Amino acid sequence: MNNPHETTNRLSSMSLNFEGCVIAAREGETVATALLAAKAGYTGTSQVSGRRRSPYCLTGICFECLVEVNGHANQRACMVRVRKNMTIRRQNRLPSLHLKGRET
Amino acid sequence: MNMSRPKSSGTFDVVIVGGGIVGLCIGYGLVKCQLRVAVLDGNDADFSASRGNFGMISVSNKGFSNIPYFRLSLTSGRLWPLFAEELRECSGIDPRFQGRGKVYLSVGDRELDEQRRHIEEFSQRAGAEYRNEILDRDEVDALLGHVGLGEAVSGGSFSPLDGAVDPLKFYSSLLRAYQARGGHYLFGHIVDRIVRDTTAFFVRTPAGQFSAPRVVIAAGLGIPPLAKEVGLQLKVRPERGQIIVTERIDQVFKYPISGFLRQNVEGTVMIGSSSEYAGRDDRTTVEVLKELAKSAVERLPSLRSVQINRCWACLRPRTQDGYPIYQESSEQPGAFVVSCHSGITLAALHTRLLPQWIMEGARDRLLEPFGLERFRDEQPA
Repeated sequence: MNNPHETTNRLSSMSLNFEGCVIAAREGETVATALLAAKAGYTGTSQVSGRRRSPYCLTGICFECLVEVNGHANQRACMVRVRKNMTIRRQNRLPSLHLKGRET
Repeated sequence: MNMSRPKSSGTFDVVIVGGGIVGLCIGYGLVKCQLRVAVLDGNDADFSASRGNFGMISVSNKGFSNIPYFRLSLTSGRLWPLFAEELRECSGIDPRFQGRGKVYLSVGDRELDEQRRHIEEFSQRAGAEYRNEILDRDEVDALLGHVGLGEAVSGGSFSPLDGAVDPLKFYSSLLRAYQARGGHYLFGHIVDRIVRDTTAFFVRTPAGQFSAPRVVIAAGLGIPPLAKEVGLQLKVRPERGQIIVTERIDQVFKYPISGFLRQNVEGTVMIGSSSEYAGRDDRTTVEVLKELAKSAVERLPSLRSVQINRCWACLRPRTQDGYPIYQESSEQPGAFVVSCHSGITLAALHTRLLPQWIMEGARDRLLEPFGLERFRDEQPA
């Protein structure tokens, strides 16, 4: 994935795992901006329209950027700050209540 | 006021003041009879019960102390499947009606006993049409797909009379269907006067004047001053309801529960709706939302892990005795007032019966008990 801000990002020494790929990120930014900067493509599939979605409002309002963060579904990528060793997956289905119940 | 707005006006067969679900149901019923109708709606900032609705079609808990109200709700419930289908076809928006019924969950043995006695008494009063079956804990558990009941749940009951729609889909499909049939919908038209000459009413708004031989006032909390314009005195009190909406999750339970817990087809769980008097304050409060969340988790503990996405509050219009009002002005015939608390449940019936009453003057037998006459002997509240 070509990141135009690669030089800057290299300085931040952060990385995310997105769908098995390593993506550079800057400390203090959100998962959504890291994914956008990395041109990571779509971030999930809407369960209502069946269409591919990606970050849109970046303010937590539109719920277009839902991803799975370390196994937790329905996370707004624009509201989650990057941390070390994060694993992000595209959200392509609704989480089930029973699975959620087992999460910590 | 927006001065740049072009003034609109016009002559219609019926002008309806109020573009909520009640007003639009009447409008939709009227345009289906090839009548020219204008619905005048207010602004986003107005108190709008329709925009905060919970989408419940409730029959089994209506009219325990007023059997005509039960019959009104029951008739509407029966009309709902066809009504929903018609709206879907006409608007292209599926209101997501489901008429499978509703589960009541009782917490503790005492609540289950009370529910049993309540159902027996209701059946005696309403007759064989009342259906609500007591269930033990295992039966309720099976009905809800073994979602995991709270320890204190002692059982409950199931009524096939109830149903639900998606609140927002229903409202938008109704508006779209009304417009598709040729109805005029005018947003931002706040009515300040209704005057009459020998042939017609003139409904005045800062954005234009509309005339028609018939006018229907269905403006929720805005009714009293407008009703006065046509010679009718009535009181409508704001009753606040608060609602919690969660993130979308896979379908968990397919029946609405006890009138306060339901899951929309698209996955969000709605928890509501409280009831309190707070004047015209339509804000949410932590205390009430906490109670709603607690009673939801007490019944279905697995909901504990579900994120809350939004909460809102809304004011419902409540008449003095809580029952609907259908009244034509005797002083100014051709002017009608409609107010009710359950615009969703009664939507199918309103669409079917109110146009006939408005155009022909004869109130259907089912509507007859709900005139203003019933308040005549009462002390002002």
